[in-house]
Amino acid sequence: MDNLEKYISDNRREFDIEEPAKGHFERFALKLEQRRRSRSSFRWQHMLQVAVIAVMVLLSSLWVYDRITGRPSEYQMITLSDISGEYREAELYYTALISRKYNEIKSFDFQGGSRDQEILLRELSEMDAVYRSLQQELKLEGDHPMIINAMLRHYQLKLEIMNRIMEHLREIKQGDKHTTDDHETSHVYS
Amino acid sequence: MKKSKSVWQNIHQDLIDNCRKGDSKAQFELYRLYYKNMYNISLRIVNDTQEAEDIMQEAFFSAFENIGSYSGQVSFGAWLRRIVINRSLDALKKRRLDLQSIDEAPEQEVAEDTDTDKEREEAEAAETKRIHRCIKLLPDGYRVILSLYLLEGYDHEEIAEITGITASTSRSQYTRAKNRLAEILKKSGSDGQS
Repeated sequence: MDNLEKYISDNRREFDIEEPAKGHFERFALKLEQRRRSRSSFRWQHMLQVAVIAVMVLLSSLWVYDRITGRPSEYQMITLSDISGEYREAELYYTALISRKYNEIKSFDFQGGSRDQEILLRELSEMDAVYRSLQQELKLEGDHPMIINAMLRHYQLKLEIMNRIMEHLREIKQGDKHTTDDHETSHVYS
Repeated sequence: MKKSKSVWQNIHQDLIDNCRKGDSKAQFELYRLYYKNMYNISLRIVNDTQEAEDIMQEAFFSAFENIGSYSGQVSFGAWLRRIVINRSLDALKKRRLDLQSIDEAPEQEVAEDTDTDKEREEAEAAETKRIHRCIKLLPDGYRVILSLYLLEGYDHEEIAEITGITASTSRSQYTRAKNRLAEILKKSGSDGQS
């Protein structure tokens, strides 16, 4: 390294001898303020844009959902009542009868213990799975008469089965009485 | 938190931390501390006072906006200096001055000293002032490489990376720049060269 090189590199900072033109502090402060302001307004605008987009996406997705389901979206499941007033009556009739029968079975005195009752009630509620799948079909296919018939038939069948169960339970109860009576007589005779 | 993480302990770490939060007072304070060095770096490359000021100030804004990417691997000053140098070189390239065709670059006339220069002359070391004035007379390509090597302290590999020329070109151009500077110094009359 020769003298010139050495001199320059030893006095590096001494070479920073130029000053920017007068007023550079003010010019810098002004630019700083302008940038700060434009950035904050940009941020605000940006947030507004995001909000508008979010609302639009939400609305359009709701609209699309509504179009796809084709039915009022507040009902997760549609029932016969949603199709016409006539079916609504039928449905109310069946559901009232069914819930009455259901309560009858529930309050029936199962002498052998509540386990049998439990099984019975569970099996009855499992029948409802069939109904739910019919509801699903109704939702997808629209009010096809076959599906509506199947739903009505389901109510009828359920009611019929419940009636038979009740009959059977009463018979058993009666039978039990007879057998206990028999036991008593036999006991007497023995 | 950030302090312990950074490899380099900055003298003005609190200012840098406040800058990260977008504190404009801290930003202005950093400007006050670094503007002179940055302005001179830019001026040595672009050789135009108005352009150097614009580049220097824009470099500060760029640094503030990208302060999140400053990892503390080097000093804040070194990081900022790199921004200034890159922007100054870009400006120089925009003026269509190819660093590779240095020899074709026209040599500038000896510029007249301004009044402010004369006022300051007494305060500055006369020799430094003289060399400084002669560096300004070098053609762009020579001046840039000589400045980066001698005054900014980059080695030829780093200069190659920054400017896009090869390290060996940088080496040879530096030697020529140095010889040219010696010639200009001799021509400038005084033989007080150290």
